[in-house]
Amino acid sequence: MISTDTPVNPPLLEVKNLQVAFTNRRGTLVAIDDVSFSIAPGEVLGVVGESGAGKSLTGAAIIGLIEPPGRIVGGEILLEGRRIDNLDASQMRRIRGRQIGAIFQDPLTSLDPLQTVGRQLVETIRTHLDLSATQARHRAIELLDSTGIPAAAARFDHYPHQFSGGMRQRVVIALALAAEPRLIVADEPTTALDVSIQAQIIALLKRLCREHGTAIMLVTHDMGVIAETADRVAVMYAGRIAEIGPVADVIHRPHHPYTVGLMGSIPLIGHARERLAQIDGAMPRLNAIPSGCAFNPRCPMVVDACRTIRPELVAAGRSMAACLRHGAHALVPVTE
Amino acid sequence: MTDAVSTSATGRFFDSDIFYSFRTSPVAVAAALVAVLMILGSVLAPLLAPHDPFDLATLDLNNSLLPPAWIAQGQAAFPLGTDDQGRDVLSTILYGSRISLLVGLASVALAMVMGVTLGLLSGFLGGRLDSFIMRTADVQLSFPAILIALLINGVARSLLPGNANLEAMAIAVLIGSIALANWVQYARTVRGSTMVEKHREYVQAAQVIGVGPLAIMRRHVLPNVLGPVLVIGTINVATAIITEATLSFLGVGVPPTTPSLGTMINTGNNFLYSGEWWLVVFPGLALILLCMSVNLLGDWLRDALNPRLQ
Amino acid sequence: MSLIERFGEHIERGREPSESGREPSLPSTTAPNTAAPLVVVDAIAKTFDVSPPWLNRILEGKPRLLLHAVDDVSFEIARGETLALVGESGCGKSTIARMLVGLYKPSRGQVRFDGVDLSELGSPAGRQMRSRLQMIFQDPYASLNPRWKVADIIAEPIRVHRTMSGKDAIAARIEALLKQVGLSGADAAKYPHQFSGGQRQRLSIARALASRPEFLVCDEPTSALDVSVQAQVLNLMRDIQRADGLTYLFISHNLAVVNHVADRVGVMYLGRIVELAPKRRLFEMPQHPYTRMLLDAIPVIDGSGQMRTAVSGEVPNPLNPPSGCTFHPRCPLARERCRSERPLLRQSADGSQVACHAIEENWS
Repeated sequence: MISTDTPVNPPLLEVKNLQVAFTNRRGTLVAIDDVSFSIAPGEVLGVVGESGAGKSLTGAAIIGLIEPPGRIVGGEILLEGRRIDNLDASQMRRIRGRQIGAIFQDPLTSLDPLQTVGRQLVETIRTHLDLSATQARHRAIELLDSTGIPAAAARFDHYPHQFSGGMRQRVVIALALAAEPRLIVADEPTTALDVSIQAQIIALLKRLCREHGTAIMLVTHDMGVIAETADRVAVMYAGRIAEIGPVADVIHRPHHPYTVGLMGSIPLIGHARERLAQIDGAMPRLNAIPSGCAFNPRCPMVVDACRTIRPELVAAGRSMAACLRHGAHALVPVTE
Repeated sequence: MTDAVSTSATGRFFDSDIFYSFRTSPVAVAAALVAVLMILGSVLAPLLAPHDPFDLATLDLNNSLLPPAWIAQGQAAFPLGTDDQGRDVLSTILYGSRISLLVGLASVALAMVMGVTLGLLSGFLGGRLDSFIMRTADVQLSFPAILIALLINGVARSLLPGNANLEAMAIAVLIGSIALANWVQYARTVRGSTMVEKHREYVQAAQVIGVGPLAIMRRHVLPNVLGPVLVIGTINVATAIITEATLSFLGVGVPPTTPSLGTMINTGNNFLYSGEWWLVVFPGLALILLCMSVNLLGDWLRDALNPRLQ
Repeated sequence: MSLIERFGEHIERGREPSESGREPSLPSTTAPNTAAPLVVVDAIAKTFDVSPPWLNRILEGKPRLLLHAVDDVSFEIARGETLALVGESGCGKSTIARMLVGLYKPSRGQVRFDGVDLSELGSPAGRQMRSRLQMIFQDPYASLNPRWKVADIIAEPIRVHRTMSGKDAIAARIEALLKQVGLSGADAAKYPHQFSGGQRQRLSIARALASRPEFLVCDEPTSALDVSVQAQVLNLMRDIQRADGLTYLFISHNLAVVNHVADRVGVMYLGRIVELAPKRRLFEMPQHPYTRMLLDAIPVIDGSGQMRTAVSGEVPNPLNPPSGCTFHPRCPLARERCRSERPLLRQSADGSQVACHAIEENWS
């Protein structure tokens, strides 16, 4: 398997050669194409990419919530060594919530508007843990309190619409942590929130997960959030991983040309560049993914081999990049 | 980056998901075939009908009450039998479904125009106009459609001068009354969609450009709210036909000289117990087939246009 | 050449003469612009009536509810300048944007464009003025009519204002506009759903440029786009501004983006401007506590895992704003005066404006 990327402990979650495809009457579209990575216990892995890269879908595959007609057509997902991609619906339901928690982007639709917040928490707790009603209620109030909601006991009986956006997301975090899962999949947890609230929520998530020892798979398009939260980050492009490695390395010493372009196009406060670096063109649609390296039509360093050979993830510095110009046996020498 | 899709309208239609769901749904195809056949049959009635049921000269009382051709005493010239005046049932059905279709389609078209216009104005302009139109609609909805049609029919008959061209008047009044009974559902649907669309940014963009409100309603909002209207319309054609048949059955529809399917069923009913069953069964079957095929087409259209079901 | 330099080749291309045919005639923004400002916003306010329906008010005894979305805002925009307004949700920046293009009428105050009051846009004489100001919207999916062809969408301003006539002339102009925004002439026959988000935003820009406006209001034009697409669109907008001499009002919640596009930046909070300063001054030496809070809340990509200073509290409900200075519940410098008296925007020596008692009286 991938050497420089594998963390030292036995991984909590392992994704091996995952393939997710959509079949409709026009044919089969491969949305995730041979993606492999692992997450260690307590680690925060960021999955970054633009729209259509497949990062949300990867999260959905892990939780088992891919919407039909999409489905997993290849590879394996292992949680603590046991396969979870081939479980039936009731088995998956047990895993979801108890072992894997989920936080989605929109707190408004993640909560049931017709039930009080407390009731939803208690329901989740009692589904997965064997606690009495009173014990569950105590635990729920504790959770609400630990997420920074003031007067938790009173707000226990409030409905979601009585909370502001940031407060709602705290409730969602409480819900996700209710059954003490080992892993949380968070899909754009702060995108719908104001900038000043984003910081609070990210800090909260980080602190709580550190306290509970929960690993996080943080899916987002916001590099800033990744920079301050993640330990490692995977950059996805067109359903494949372009680069994966420690956060500081991927951000400051990117190797894959796409990562380089991406970092260059992010506006920063400190630098007042004349123009932002821009990558021409756009991410290919699923029905038009180029052969060879998916990035080759837009890559400023493309050579002929890139159009025919699909690069594997190879070592590049302290990370791994899927580029023919990197790795010990680089097919194309780096000419920088 | 963009798909290589043909840009001609017909090319896009045949390539579209709607057409695909159509041709893979046996019910939709069968219903469409039946509907098309019946429509063609009625439109081409003068060419297809073996006899002309309105030409009094060709009627021969000797031919009256003949059973269908495959039963003893029937004649091949009258495949589905004849009525008490010697008129061929098949020809009468073909001509009669003309009336039914005319009333059905015209009343739906009129109801659509009324309902869509009022719904657009109501949803877009809001305020007192909206309240007024909607309260009128609410009041009207509390009356059953047949009752409204009867009411308007009765009033119109008493208002119109004597027997002057009673036949054309009767059909016009019929179309008008059925339309008046049915416009509300279009208005409500369109009003709801309009209220959503008017806050969308493309409407605001048009306002910034300086397009006037009427032009915005007509050119920008209308094309985007018509979808559900078409679905309601197709299903409504069937109900309109049945409403016309009911009214004719009750004697307040088309005059008996120009029989529609409804009047045929009405008169035929009287002969049912004396054994001449074909006078009511065949027109009844025709009515059922026509309405069912249009209904099924409407069902398919509704499902095809519903993105959640795909 | 390093990889980043290869991507940065566009930096060089940006300096070449443009294709739109106009001379780059942008006055330098560092020298004071002595010409009359193009847009003058004079103490505008906008109040929305969000009361419950009349019947509910009678039956349940509920009071009228008024939302003061914008409360006494004044600023000017010079010709050729880009003024950015930043703030979080509920601060009123989108409302101001819509008032500046005539979508909303101010409840109080006046907006003047080239000396003419915008409330005259409804009159026949004022109608022509509409062609001089246009707007670009946030949502690339909702800002183009899905049933219209691209050619019709782009040509609409031309047809409404009758700035050109003749099918061929209009078609040629459409093609030129499409090229100017980086698309091809063949795209004119397509429908919006055949384009990606970034391309649709380019189409919006092409439509906005069709009537040759002088002033563009951009309401979060890149917030819904991916970061690399955003870079393309921001670069494009910059090129067009240089080539056509446009003036921009740029609304955003993203301070980093604002840093790249703006000449001057106004920070808004709950309907009021709290600070307005040239960009460099604002980012290097923010004065108002809220500005400082916003800047501190931005994730630091350049650091390594460094935590941001978490901001205290949340934006209060705009229906029930705090008294006096609306920021006082969250302000580390708040004192008694802040609770009772609303601070006014005061000009400092370097031309920037701040509305804060603490700054004014030099509290430490």
